[in-house]
Amino acid sequence: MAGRMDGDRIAVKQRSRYFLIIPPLIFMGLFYFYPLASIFSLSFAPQDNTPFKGVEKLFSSTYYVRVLWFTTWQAALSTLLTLVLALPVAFVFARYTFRGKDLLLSLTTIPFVLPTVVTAAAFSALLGRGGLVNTVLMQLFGLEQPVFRLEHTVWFFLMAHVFYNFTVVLRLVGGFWARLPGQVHDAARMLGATGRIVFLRVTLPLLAPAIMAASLLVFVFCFTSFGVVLILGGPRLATVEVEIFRQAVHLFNLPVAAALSLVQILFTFGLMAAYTRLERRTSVALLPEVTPKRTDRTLGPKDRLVINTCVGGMAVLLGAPLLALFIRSILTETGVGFTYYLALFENRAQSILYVAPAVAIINSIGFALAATLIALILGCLSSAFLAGAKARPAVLLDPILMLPLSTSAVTLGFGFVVALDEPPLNLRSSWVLPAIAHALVALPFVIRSVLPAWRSIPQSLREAAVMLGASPWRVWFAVDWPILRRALMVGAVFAFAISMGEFGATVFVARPQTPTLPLAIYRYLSHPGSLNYGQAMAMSCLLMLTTGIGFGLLEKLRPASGNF
Amino acid sequence: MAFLEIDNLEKSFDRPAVRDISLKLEQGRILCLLGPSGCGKTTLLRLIAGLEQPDQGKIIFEGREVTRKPVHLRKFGMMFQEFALFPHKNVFDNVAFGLQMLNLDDARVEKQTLAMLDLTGLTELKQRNVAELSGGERQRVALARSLAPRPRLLMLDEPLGSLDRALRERLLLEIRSILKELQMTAIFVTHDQSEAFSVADDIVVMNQGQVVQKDTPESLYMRPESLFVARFLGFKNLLPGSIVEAGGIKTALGTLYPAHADVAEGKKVTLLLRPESARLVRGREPDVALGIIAGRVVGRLFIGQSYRVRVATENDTELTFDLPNLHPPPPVGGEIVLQINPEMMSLIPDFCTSRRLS
Amino acid sequence: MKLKTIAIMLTLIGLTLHGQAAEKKPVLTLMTHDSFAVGKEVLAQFERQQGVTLKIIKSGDAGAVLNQAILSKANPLADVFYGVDNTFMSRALKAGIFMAYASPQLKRIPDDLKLDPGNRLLPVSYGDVCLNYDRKWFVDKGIEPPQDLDDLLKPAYKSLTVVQNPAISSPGMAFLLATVGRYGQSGYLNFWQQLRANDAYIANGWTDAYYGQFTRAKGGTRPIVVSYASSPSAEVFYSETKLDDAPTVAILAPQTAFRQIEFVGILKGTRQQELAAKLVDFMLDYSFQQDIPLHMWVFPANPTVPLPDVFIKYTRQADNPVMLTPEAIEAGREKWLEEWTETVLR
Repeated sequence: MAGRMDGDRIAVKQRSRYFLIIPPLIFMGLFYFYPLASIFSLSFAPQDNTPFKGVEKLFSSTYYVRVLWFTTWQAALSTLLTLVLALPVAFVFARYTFRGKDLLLSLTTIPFVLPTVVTAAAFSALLGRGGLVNTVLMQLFGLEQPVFRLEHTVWFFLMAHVFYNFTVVLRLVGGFWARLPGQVHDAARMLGATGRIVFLRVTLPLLAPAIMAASLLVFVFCFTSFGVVLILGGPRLATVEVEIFRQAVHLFNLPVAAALSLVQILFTFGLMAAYTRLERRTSVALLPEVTPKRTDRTLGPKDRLVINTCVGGMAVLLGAPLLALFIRSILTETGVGFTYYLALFENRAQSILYVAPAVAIINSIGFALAATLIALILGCLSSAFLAGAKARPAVLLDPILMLPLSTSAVTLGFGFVVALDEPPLNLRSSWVLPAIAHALVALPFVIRSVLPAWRSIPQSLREAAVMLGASPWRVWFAVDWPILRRALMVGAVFAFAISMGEFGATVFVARPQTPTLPLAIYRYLSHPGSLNYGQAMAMSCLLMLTTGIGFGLLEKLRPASGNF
Repeated sequence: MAFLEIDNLEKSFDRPAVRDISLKLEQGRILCLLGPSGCGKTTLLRLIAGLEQPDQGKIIFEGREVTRKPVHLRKFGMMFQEFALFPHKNVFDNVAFGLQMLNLDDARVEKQTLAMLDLTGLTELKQRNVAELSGGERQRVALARSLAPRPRLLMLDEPLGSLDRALRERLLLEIRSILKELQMTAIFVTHDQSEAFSVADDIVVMNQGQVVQKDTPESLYMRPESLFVARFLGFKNLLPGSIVEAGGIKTALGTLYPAHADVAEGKKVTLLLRPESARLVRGREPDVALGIIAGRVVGRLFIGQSYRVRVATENDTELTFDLPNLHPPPPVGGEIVLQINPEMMSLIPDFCTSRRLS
Repeated sequence: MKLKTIAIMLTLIGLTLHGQAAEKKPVLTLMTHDSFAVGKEVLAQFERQQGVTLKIIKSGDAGAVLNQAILSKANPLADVFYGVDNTFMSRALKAGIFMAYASPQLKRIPDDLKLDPGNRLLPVSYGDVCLNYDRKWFVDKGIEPPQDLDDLLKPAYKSLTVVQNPAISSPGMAFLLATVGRYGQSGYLNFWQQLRANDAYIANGWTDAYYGQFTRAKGGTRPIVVSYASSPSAEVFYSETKLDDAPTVAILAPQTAFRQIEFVGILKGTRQQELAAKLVDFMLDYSFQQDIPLHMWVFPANPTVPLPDVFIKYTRQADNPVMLTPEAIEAGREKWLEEWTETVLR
């Protein structure tokens, strides 16, 4: 779009634009492509004179094809479900003002940071065979057998996927929606369009870039889903990522693991390339409203019903598991109390591994801030480049920048170990590496948050500012910044959340003794004893609280007006 | 029966926006809602359109009440302030949208769209993306789009607000001629009186949610009924005074005799001297029966067809006049004598209290 | 306000960095899995004695860490590696990442734990993977608790057992090996077939099994789970209220448990071979050995160190546990896993 509009005048500028993309590319090269190439070349190196040993297995049975197929459709279904459930809520958040909206929005992002074991525990506690819902139903109706038998079914982890990704759709689409120029809708209604047609033919096409950006993130997130599928899906359901983990860690069959990783990367790359083309075609400069449109009108009973239904539904979907966690953290064997929280402060065995909660919180926040900072800077530069780039480089570069999200965590973790082993890159045992790994995974989220907003700024707006004699920097600050600021904040929230939750590749990154909240939770959950379990729940609640406060502070940096 | 009738319409947001407005509009006429920003004119327009719901009152269209009728069933058209073009559609698709909503078959949609593009001079641009259009082109697309489905009533909400002056004037004439050609009934909202004068058949001036005057452009200009209207129209020469004898008004500048002064004696009023009402007196023998004003030139501006002169009288009253460029007025500081045409003085029943005029 | 917030954030980053400031002392690096733990004081003792700083690096479970060590053998990440167990031993030795070191401490350790005659991997601890059951559940239901693997196949125990997927989980793998050792290569699949028919639940990991499905967990419905011989002790140690008896019981009958032995070794390519050897000595020595039970919930390799009370009271060693040679395990692993998957999951 922009490329077409700019014309020759900008041709020179186009070239200097490439400076923008240099830092992100260097970062990707060093911390993504180099490690990946290292592990691939090692994996595919001829062993015992038989190169690609074991890879023939990939083709010898339909098993792996079935795994790929399963991975794809479960991701597609998860994405669809998330969209169907989150879009109405995005509408409500975009178009209505009501009390507690900011708080609710922050709360929706909390699931994003929960370690999968904890989420799984929450879902089991709620909907498992002996879970709360079943127990209550069985007692109410005097049933012998539990009503819901979701364990080891696709539905169980589909729900968890929705639980995790709800916020992605809500924030990306809702934020965009709030800033759609409202007059366009009035115009369509004046021209005789019914509410349904306005939505289908005006709102939806205008929202398309944001919806697609969110869908892509959710799809890739679910495509590479590991922990959730592993625990809630049970042993019979395996995604490609689970299979890579099995091959790489337990069978140490690197060629097969690497080949599967490659398949995974190529598959998602193809998908993202297709997406990028589509996104460029659908994104339009629509002069977004800098301050989200608020409804001044008083809410009628119908509005209230809509708000209550959507927010209520969301509260049940997202809130119930979180509430279950909290209840478990205060429900001790001797009744309600803070035993587990108090126990967090007590180092029973005088272990070196004991982490005072404060230390874990500080470590977590430290990593998260470092990762957020890196991801924001690189994400901004990348988006700036991609927003104005000509079609060809963007169609190639955009998917490339998305790759870390779709890359197997084990493979990348192993790649770090192999590649980053010599100074000055000997970061393998440095605390910097986890932050870099977090930033790598967070980068796609920042780009997907910022890019649609950036592309929606019409060139004419910038030109108008130039005509008034403003310098390029001033133009950027006066025109782009107010619109981008909100999108950046969304990106920052996700980067922060990804790092707080130690998502993806970070699990397999070697690190010195800097225990974070999720690591502390994992450790409590690896020993028997009700106290350990209780402490894990208490620590999870601390993680939720810390993240919530973190979001709160981040959003303080945002301009005072507006809800997204 | 009026084509459109508005009956005691009321609407409040945080504070009252439209207060007890009743209006009538005949078919084929262009009504202009004129007023400062925040006067409720856009709200009134949106109420008529159905984009907002009134708290009270009725809207009757062609004899049928449409107050609660959904927007999309009213078959009214609207041209928005920022044009509100569909950014994801090209020019053709923007214009065709309303026709498609009528469930016409594709061939008819295309035929009528092309006809409308032709009428608005957009044929060349039909495949163009709206982001690539200039301001004037966008405006024409917006007009074409709102006219294409042949609305029974067209509303224009400050449709030229974001354009530069020269373009505006040209487009105004274009809009009016197109509207007249289609015999469209229209309501035009603006805060610019010159826009209102050139486009409207009738003007409704609004202030603080209420109608303060409804008139043709000519009589509005000649006979503003309140100080608010006079000031809003940009008149500066407002003299407080009182009626002394039949036809005479005593002001700070002496007694003046406007042409139409049928008000009871002793009443306090304001006398409006329109800027074009003065003529330079060059000789020694002014006709005393007509109003004579003597003073000093404090400002003098040549604006082509006339001179704009600011004159301070002996008692420090400052008046501004546009003098015909036939004879140059004295330089700044010079003495000046002006003769006021009684036909161009108007009487406003409100009394202007402030000493400083304008 | 904004400035203040930024200031707070920068301070937090600063605080984090502060802890990372390098010290002048030589740094010895120990690479290990996520479950490694040891007492603070004990490590400090080693650091004081040798005048070094000990840096501990973790990156995943036992399998993942070993693979990383193998992958980085050209330029090792650490000096010493702890956490190779007998199920992975063959892989480690074949990769040739460890150097031989006959620690003088070895003489105190029983021979049956020394699986590597070349002393590249030295035994530090061992533990038994076995069935645990919920004592109270069986008392409440008036059902006799199971005593042997064969019991799991009886109709009385239908739908009562949770085991872990050996393809993903380390105790799951150990339990699979226990069945291979017990029933032999020809018979173990028969056992699993029947276990499947008796509706055993296959969890993908220990945490899910123990904290999700086992009746001790809130909402769990199955009173028999594959865990460790030490789990009853841990249940007592980490109980909220003081317990007189362990709420769970480990089944330790002959040929029902699999013994996991964990080893330490010096990584080839270390530049501090002497210090590394000192660390190995230290880990086999009295104070570290004594510290093992309460931190890692396994037995110290040195049989002479006194065990903590909670261990003495509630944990026994398995009688005649299943032992397979590391070579046999490495040779059979992939085949057994495939057969198991075919039998149990398909």
